[in-house]
Amino acid sequence: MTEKTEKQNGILLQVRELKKYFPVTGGIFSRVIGYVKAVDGVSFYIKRGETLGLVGESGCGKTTCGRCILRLIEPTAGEVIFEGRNILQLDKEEMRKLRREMQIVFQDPYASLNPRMTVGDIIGEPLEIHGVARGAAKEKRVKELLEVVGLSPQHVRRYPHEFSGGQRQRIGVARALALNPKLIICDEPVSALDVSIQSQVLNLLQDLQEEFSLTYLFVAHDLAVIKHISDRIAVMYLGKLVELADKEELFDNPQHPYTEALLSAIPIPNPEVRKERIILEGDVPSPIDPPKGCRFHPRCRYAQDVCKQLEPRFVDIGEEHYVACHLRKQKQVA
Amino acid sequence: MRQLKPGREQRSQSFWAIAFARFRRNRLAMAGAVLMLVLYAVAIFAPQLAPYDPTVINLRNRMEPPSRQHPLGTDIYGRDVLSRMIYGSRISLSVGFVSVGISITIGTMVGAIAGYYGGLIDNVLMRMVDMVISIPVLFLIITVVSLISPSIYNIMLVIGLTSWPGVARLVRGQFLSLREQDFTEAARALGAGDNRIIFRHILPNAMGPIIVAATLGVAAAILVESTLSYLGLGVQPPTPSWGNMLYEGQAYIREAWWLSVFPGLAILVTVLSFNMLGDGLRDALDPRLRD
Repeated sequence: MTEKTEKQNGILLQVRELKKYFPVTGGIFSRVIGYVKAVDGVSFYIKRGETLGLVGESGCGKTTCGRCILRLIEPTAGEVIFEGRNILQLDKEEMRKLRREMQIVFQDPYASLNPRMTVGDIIGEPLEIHGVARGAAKEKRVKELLEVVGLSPQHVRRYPHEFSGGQRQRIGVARALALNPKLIICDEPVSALDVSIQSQVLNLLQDLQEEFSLTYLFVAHDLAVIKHISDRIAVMYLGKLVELADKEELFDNPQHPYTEALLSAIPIPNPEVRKERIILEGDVPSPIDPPKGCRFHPRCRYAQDVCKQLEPRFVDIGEEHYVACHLRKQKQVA
Repeated sequence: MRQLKPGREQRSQSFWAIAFARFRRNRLAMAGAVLMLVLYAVAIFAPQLAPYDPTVINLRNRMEPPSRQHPLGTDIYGRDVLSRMIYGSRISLSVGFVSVGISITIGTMVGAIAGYYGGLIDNVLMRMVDMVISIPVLFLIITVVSLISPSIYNIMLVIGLTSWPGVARLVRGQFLSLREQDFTEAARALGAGDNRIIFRHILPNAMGPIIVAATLGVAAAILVESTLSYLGLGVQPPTPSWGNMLYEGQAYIREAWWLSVFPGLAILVTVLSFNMLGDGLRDALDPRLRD
């Protein structure tokens, strides 16, 4: 990211060269024989009040990236600057306090709520942990939160298993909201839900964003969902960002061949329209041993020699449209 | 989306309420539970229930077969077998209870620490568990008891101190998997400390298997105590225990079958009832069977 954008006002979160390598051990002595480079040098920023969509296929490192930002997974290297502070340098206690400001909504609404706790206890827990409210005050706040997310306050004493998937996800959202955070990382919050429920939860998230001026990092693999909710979109491939731009810009003018292929895979609900589909060949290469040069080159239909040798830089090609591709200019000409 | 049902707050069934409802449908388990309660009642009210003093010797009534006066007969010293068995239940049940208490406490602590913190701590603790497991328990107990006096308290202690590794492994496994659950991660994201995560989030979810292990552990401990008493290394005469009654009776099994058959049946029924109870609890508490 350039110095210019960093100095701009209104940046809530800036991520610089974030890396997470998971060691792979093998042999009888469990020696480290390699690393899974789940996140390998990712940089982006999120402005206050906006939604940055992070999209990519399964296993590309989206979720790991989100968890690293919250330090639920300790990153290997890089900087995560939240409101001007590099949170990777905070000690345990400072980090614990900072957690009021940044929260997470999980993908699986069945696994993310403790089955032995009532809804009231689940949503009230953050208030207790940070000493915000206890007893009657806590219960009052919990009921407020339940109403905010569209559940009945009468549900406080119920257990998670008595709710549907969509309702459970609302409980998860209420828990994330309890401490009035500034940033919420939504880790595929609707992927596990039925399509009819997805839109309800998405709309809820949008309403809440407006009401509480929240900033979202929205991780998903579903382009339709991402398009619906994001202001800007970052496309991730094999641990790296390949393109980042405004939503309209990205959909109208994709620069990276991978983005192009992704966009061509969105079904159009009109049988009359025929559109060219770009079918990517082969599998996603192993993140243990990613291809040299541009990581996408083995599957790229434009690949040339330079792509096999040199890793493209992630550069701004104007109006905060970032792309990591050697062939961008040639392609435009052709 | 809103399902407003006007009126009072809806109070709903907790996990435990559901498990209990399921448990009640299981006849065998209920039978085990009832038997267990009866046994504990007998042990607690032994002085009230026993028709005779279990230690009073009456050589005129030696080895009398079951009769009106002595429903289960008398032993070689003329003591009432029924009374002795009633008092003997105190030994068996308290040995079961206390030694399982010890083993569950140690096992849960070791397993929780190993499973939660992982890494080197886990390795060290689990190798310790392997060491303890590799010792043949009965031989260890026999050795220990022959070195220190074979009192009931020592037996409780030794059984408790040797039976925790199984519990530790079980709890460790539970912690390993629960630690990775999203709700644990969520608690961490909320800023919860280790203590809170262990005691509020992980342990309550691991209670089911621990309770089952405890119940089955009681049965096992009762058997070990009986074995020791049978070998003469357990509770010392004249204090009655089912094990030493069995031992005393075996020499006369041809002449006075009631001396060994009734204590043997008592052990059988008790162990069986705890096993049935444990199996029933396992079924009731298993989350995979949740309907």
